[in-house]
Amino acid sequence: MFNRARPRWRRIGQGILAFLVLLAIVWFAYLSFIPGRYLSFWPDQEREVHLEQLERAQSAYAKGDFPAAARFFGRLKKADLTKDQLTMAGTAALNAEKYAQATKFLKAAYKDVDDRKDKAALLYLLARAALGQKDTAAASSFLKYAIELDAKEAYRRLLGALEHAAPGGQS
Amino acid sequence: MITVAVQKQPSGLWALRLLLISVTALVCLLLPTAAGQAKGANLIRNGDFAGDLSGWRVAGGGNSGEGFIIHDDRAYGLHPGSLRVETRRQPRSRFKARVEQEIADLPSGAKLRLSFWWRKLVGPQLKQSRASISMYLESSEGVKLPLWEDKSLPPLAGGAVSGRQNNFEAAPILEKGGNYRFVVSVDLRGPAGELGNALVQLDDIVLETAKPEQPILFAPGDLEGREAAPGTVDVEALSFTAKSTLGKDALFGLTLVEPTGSPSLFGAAKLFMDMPPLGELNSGDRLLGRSTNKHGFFQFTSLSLPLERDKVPLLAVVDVRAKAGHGQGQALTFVDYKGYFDQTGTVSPVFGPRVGIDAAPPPPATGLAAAGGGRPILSWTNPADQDFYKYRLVRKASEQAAGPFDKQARLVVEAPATPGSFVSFIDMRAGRGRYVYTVYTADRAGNWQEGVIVGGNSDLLQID
Repeated sequence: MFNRARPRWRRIGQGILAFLVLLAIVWFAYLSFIPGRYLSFWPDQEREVHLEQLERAQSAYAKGDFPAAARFFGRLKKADLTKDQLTMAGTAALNAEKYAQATKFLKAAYKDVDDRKDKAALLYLLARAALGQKDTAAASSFLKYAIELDAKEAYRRLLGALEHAAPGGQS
Repeated sequence: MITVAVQKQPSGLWALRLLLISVTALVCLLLPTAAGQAKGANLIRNGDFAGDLSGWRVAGGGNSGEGFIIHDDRAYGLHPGSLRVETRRQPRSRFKARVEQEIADLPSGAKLRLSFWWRKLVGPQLKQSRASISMYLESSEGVKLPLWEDKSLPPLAGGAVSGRQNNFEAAPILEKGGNYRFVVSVDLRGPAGELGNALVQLDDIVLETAKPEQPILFAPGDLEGREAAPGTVDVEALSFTAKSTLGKDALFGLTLVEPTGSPSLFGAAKLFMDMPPLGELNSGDRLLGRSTNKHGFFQFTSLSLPLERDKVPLLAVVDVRAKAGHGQGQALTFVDYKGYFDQTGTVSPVFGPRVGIDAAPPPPATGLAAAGGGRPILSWTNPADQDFYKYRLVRKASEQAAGPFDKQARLVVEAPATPGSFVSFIDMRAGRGRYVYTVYTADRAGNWQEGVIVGGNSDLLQID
C-alpha cells in the first residue's frame, strides 16, 4: 500500500514543502490583486509610498510652504533620505519652528556631509535650532565650531550677539 | 516493477493533500479581511482620528459590514487630518461614511480656506461603481454651505486618481457667524453583483478661517434711501470713490448682506463691477473685466438695487480681490463716500481696506548668509515690521540682480512669512559657479523693497 522506496519522513517533508509553496503563492497572489494595500513585506508598495511622500514634501518645500513640507518630511525615515533631502527636511522643520525635528534631520545631514563649508552651514542651522529650544550653550558651541570651519560674517555676528547677551557678557 | 510501484500514489493521500491545500487557501483569503474588518469596526467605535483634527468621529450610519473606515497606520497613518475609507467585496448597494468636527464661534465675514489631498483607488472589477466626496459646513440650523465636492467617475477597469486641493478659497465670505460643523462625506455605491475593492482616501485636511478685520462704521444718516415703488427702496447712488493699488485683472465688488445673514434677500447678493467702465448695476449683476492701470483710481458712480422695504441690509461688505500676481486687494482707501439708504448701515470691508494708501515697502531682510560648498544653503531673518508680508529670494550668476523681477535672475523661492521669522533654504538647482543671492521683501500692497545691502539682504557664494 505504501511506497517503501521513499521513507515516510521524506513523504511528510515533501508534503510540508508543497504546502508552504502553495501557501506563499496563494498569499502573494492575493496581495497582488488588492490595490492600495501597503504591507510591510511588499517592498515596492513601500517604496512607492515613500516616493509619493517625498514628492509632496519637496513640492511644498519648493513653494515655501514649510509647515507642510516639515509635516511630510517628518513621516519619512532618515535612513531613506539623501544628505540634501535631510538638509531640506531640517531647514523646513526649522522654518516651521519644529526645533527638535530640525535638530534630528540636521544632525543626520551633518553626519553625511564631508565639505567643511557644508558642515559649517549645518552647524549654523543647528545653532539656530538650539536657540529655538533656548539652549544657548549648545548654540554657542555649534557656532564656535562652525566659525572654525568657515568664518562667515553671519556666524560670527550671531555668536557675538549670544556672548553679548550672556550673563557677564564675554564680548 | 519497483518503478511502477513508486509512481503509483494512493488516491486517499492525494485527496487528503487537496483538502489540506484548499483549507489553507481559504484561510489565507479570509484572514486579512477579517483582521481589517475588526480593526475598522474598532475605530468606528472609538471614533478616534488622532491629531490636529481632534474630535473627529463617525456620525453613524456608515458601516454596513461591507465597507469600513480605517485609520491607515502604515502608509499615511498616525498623523493629523487623515481619513481613509475602504470597501472590500462591496458594493452590493451603497456605502456612506461621514466624519465631522465642531467649529465654534466662526465670525461673520470670515474667510475660509481649505487644503487637502485625496485619492480614489478602484479595483478592475468595479466598472459601474461610483465614489464621491463632499465637504461642507453645516450650521446649527442645518443649513449647508458647500466647500468642495467631487463626483467624478472612477477610472474604468481599475486604477487610481488623486489630486491636491491646495489652500483654495472654499467660500469667499461666511455671511453668518456662529457654530458650525465641518463635515466630510464619502459615498461609495455600485450595482448589484459587482464585487471588488474601492478606496477613498483624504489626507492632511486643513480648514483655515481668517477673522475679518474691524469694520468701518458709518454714522447714522450716512446711508439714505428713497422709495422708488411701493414696497421697494431704490438704493440710488451708493456712491463712493476708492483709490487702490490694485493691478490689472483686479475685481472690485460690493456685497450686501441682510442682518439675518440669510442669502435669500438678494439671491445672488454679490455684485462685482469692473472698473472702468462703471455704470448702473442691477441686483445680481456680475461684471468681470480688466482694470487698465496700476495704482488706479476707481469710482462707483451709481448703483441701483431694488430692495424690499422691510429687509434693508444693515451690513454691506466691500470685497476687493485681485488675481494672483496682479496686486493685492488689501490697500483700498475710501476717499469719499456718499450713500443713500433708508436707514443706518454699516459698511464692513472684510478683506482689510486700510485708511491711506500704503506706498512704502517694508524694511529689507537682514543677515543673509549664502553658505555651503556643495549645495548653497541660504538663511536670513525677515524684517520684524508688521508691514512685511512676503519675501522673494533670487539668484543671479556673478552679479547683483537689478531688482526682485530681474529677468536675468532666477527665482529661488517666494513665499509669505511672519514678520521677524528666521528662514533657511537649500537651493537644489544651483550648480557650480559664482552666485549673488538677494532677498527682497514686500508688503501686502505689493510694494517691494528694492534696496540692496551686501551682508544684509545680499550675499555672494562661490560653488566649486
